[in-house]
Amino acid sequence: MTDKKIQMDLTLRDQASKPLEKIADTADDLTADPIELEATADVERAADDLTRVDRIADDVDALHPTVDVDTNAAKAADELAGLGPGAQHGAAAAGQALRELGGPIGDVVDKAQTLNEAVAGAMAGIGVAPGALSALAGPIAGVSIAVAGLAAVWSKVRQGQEEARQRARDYADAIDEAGGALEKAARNRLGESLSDDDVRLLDRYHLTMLDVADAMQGHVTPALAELRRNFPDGAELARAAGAGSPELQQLAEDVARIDDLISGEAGGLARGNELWQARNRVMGDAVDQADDLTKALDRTRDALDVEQEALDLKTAVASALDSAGESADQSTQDVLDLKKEIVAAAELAKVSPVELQSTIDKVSAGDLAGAAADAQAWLNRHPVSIITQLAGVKVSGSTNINLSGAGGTGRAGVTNVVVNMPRGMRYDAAAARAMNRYARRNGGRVLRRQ
Amino acid sequence: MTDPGVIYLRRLADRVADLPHATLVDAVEDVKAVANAAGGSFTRARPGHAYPLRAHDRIVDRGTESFARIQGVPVGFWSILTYGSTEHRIPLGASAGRSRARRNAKGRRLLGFQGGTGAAYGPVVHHGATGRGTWDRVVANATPLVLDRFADNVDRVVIS
Repeated sequence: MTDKKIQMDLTLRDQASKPLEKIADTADDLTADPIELEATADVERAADDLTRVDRIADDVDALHPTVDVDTNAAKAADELAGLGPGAQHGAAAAGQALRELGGPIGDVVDKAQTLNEAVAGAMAGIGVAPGALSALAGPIAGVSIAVAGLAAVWSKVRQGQEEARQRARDYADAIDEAGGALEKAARNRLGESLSDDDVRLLDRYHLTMLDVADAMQGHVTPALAELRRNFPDGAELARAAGAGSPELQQLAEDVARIDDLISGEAGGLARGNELWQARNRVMGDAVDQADDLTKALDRTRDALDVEQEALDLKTAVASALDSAGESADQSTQDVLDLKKEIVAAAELAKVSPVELQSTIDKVSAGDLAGAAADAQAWLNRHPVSIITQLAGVKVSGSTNINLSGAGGTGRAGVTNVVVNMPRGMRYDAAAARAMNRYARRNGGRVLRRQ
Repeated sequence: MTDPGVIYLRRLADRVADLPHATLVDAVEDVKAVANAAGGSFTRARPGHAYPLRAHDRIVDRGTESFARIQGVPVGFWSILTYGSTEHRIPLGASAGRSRARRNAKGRRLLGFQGGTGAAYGPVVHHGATGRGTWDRVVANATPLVLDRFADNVDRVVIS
């Protein structure tokens, strides 16, 4: 039987908003969680740098068995055993400090290396494959997701850098402690090597055994330099003294004795001298190693600074395009700002002047779409790997420019609005929906309803 | 500060959620315009009186689903125009709401005339009408408009 109702029924069902909300929630969590999205290559570079520094540390340790306490701590302690109780205590403390060294540095390296795995986990969490996120977002959030992703990476890497710097400081402190122990041992050994007469002799001329030790290494301390200025040569002084006054003769003998001590002919200082050399070597290596680590971290930070600069620039270009395209009547200032941003982009991307002038001419002619395409191409050519989409540009007519997409959305602030509604309106579904809509459109998630 | 991309996604989800209701509001206006144009006025019921054939709508939202029903009014005249009618008596005057005797009163049809008894009258009978499928044409013509309206709204929501 034919349905003879004079009716027309229409049914529309929304099956897309919930998945979109879910994607938004996931993206929100993703931006709140410091996880990298795009700058994986640079993090790997940081990991490589850190690994290299760690390898340098291993090499340095291998060169100086007394520092490699994991394998030779006992041996080093034995070698220092004959240097007195103070030296043994210092060596033990240094050994303990170095023993704890490998773990923290290894943790930093591991943390950097596993950052990529965190990225994969984040992608799995959002339910899309890497690279598909941009395709999914398309004109929706190309720029902003990249911004959020890089910002998250930035904070993560900064945090990693701080940790790595702390480890470097700990490492340097540990080596300083080791050097201090060796220095103390060397000082004790030198003290044991000098007779009481020698010590008194040095005191008489305001010298210490460290001045003598430095002089043995070819370094002239200020006190020794002062002595040299007054008494250039002990032998010459002795000849001049001749049968002179006993005081002058005593002075000549003192200077000669000091020269003997410095030249090592006095004996007993040989081992102290070797120990002193080892101390200097360890201290020098520690400084070099800390410098290497600092340089590697600075290099990583500089690379990320460049990326941040590029990203800021892309955002600025999109913003300038947005500003210039919001109205058909483009103000001169808007166009000028856009040109400035394009020049900055060209400078960053090292674009040829001819190419730059061509794009500037496009802006002058009102072809913002062409200028945007050029700027996007430049920035894509830039070595930094940031997936960023400038605002999609739709040109209608010759002068009316409509910008759409992520670049046109701008950054909306979050506003808390308290709406006092009449009692009869509290459970009104339309009013509640309107309030919820207002909250969502301004970045809020849930608006408390009474 | 919430990321602008997240804000945009939430706005998009919000607009998509509003899409069924908003589209139906626009679509029923399209359908009603088509119905008004197709129906015109029904004048044969009472000579001298014109009954415009229009359509009313009712939109109901149930969760994520929005439902709209466009009802042609007056239903009877729409039905006659669309599906026709069988043979039927035409009651006298305005019989609605009147008594059964009045509704069944003999009409003004002259059945015969016989001398002595005078004229005999009976009810006026309409011979029936063939339906012209007017409402069906309304549905047929409005359907592509509704689909176009939906596509336009989707484009506006997603692209803007």
